[in-house]
Amino acid sequence: MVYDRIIIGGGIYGLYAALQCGSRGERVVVLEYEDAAFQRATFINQARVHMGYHYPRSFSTAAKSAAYFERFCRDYSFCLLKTFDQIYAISASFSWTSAEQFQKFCHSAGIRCERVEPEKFFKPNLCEGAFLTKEYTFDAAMLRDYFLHEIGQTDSVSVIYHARIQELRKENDCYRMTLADGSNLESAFVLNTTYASVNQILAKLNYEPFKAKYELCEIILCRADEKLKNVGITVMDGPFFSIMPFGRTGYHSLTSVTFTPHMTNYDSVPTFPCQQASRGTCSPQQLGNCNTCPASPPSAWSYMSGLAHKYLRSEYGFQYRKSLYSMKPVLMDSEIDDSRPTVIRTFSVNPTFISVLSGKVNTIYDLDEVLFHGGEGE
Amino acid sequence: MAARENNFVSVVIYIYNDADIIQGELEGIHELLSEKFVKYELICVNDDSTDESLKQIRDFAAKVNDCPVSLINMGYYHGMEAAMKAGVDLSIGDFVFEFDRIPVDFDLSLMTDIFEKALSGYDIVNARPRNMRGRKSMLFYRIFNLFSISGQKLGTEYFRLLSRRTINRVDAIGQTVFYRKAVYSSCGLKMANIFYENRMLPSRKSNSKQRKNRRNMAMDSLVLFTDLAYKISFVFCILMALFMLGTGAYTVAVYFGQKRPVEGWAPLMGMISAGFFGVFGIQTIIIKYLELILSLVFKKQKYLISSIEKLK
Repeated sequence: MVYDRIIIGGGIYGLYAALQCGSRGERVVVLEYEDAAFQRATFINQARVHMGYHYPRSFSTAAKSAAYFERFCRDYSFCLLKTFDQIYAISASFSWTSAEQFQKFCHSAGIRCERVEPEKFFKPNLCEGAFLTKEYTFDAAMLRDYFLHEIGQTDSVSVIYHARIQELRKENDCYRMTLADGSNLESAFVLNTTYASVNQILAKLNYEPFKAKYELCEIILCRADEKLKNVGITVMDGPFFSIMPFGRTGYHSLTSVTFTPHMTNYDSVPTFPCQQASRGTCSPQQLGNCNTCPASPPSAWSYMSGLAHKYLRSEYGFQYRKSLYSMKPVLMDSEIDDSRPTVIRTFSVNPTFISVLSGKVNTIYDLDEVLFHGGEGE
Repeated sequence: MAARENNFVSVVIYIYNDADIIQGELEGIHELLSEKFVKYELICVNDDSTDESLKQIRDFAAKVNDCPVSLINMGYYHGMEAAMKAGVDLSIGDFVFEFDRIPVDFDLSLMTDIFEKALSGYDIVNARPRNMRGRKSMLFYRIFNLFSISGQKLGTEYFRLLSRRTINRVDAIGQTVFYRKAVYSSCGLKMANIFYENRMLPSRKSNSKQRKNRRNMAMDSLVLFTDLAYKISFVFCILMALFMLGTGAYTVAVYFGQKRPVEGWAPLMGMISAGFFGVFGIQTIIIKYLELILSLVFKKQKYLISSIEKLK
């Protein structure tokens, strides 16, 4: 089959690109390794629609995030949870940013930041400042259903689940690939949006890998007590934690900078000792799904909850429900300074092969530029 | 084996040029923790060591995989107090063990004893070695305890257990804690001491930085946590004022008396003694003021309760 576009990876970047192209009548195929879309990183993250608060040391990123935030909220408001108080607090010790600096940064970036009494949420003297901010959380399941529905409307986009790419090669004017079921696909434009598997796909073509490290991450879903129910809390700017509503699921997600990553690997493709125990579902050549893996690590609940309890007043309680695991590639500093969370690389033009790697959901719009203006050589 | 404790404990260890012994001691502590507790963490505070300490800590951390090990590297030599404060600030445990130095001169099972003591109702449990040497430190503690404001007696100790409540309390009192022991003992929560027969460790030579740091701290703590300095200066001022008063009286007596030592002596002397009397009198008042200001700044909280009980 010949397609206008082949998109590898059925996460939000893949489906967004598919929908953009499909709605112009292009013939698009999305290859998804899992049996459903949004099974990994798009689903397993803090579900935060970033406004820019995370970059108190990079003004330009903050401004860009704020613009994307507005657009994302316009486009996908149906899947957002907005009715909660998102609190950002600055830890009194070990923070790289002071409360004053944070406030100043928010004012200059033009994003909401109202001082509230830290003692309302935190034990005395643990946080030097707390701010009510404007940030939302998205529901990955609703977002997926929306994308699949819209894609279904276009007629020209198909999604192949359980896709196993057996061979991928570049020919004169196109990329050709063979799947395990014997089908052959061909296109002059391939977009690789496989996130943690990005280098595994690149390795099939002997392209230069992204310089990334890999972290096996755990996000804990909790049931929040009444007082915490409509509150999201993020303690910045260092080895702290965040507990905030997880889309519209009714759960809160609990993460911490130090305990969410369980293992780290610095190889160009993710290589972990637990792969040996994965019963053949995961290898450095083909990443399995950490969330359903039999070898997923024991939960760091006691550490993450301990950290959160140290800061939070006792009335803001929460209980363990379940853990979600996923692999997260983190671009190395040499490749990316803190100011650019999305990296898009064009490996070939005509036929075109583009890889995208981004850590934020609401920066999908970065794709527009390469989808419709063609890839530019680096 | 007894059931393991469910409380989350943090262990904060001060490290300064201890490369030769770190690994062994950390292994021992880690082993005991894993036997005794379900949840625990290790925090090493490296106070800008100039030897291989950092590498030794990293090597140790690479070996353990069932326990979070955090490392705080101080930017420059801070001394034990500030460094340990940083470590305790980072800790998240319900209880925190403080190792003020890494050479351990006791059997590690003492950690268990101390923990059990704390569970029996003490927020702070100190481990005090029985066999002491170091006359200077003994003198320091004797003076300190004699004039201590809180009434709690301090002694030499390198190892203690704190409840999270204590840490919160100390944080609430003020951020600039430079002598933890004294603050713990005066924070109003219940404290216990456990004495143990210590092994005599080979004495380690402290360098000039450490000595200077210790000397300054001793002086400052005496000033802040005891009323020794205040009492001395207050009494001295009053004595001087009285002495000047006496001199004044004597001058008056001489002036009206028979013997005149030198022409003009008495008026001059009268002026001097009146002047000095004024100076010392005012100084007495100033000292009183300073003491008041100090106590206002230092004891921000109005009172420090150790518990509230509803009896009926």
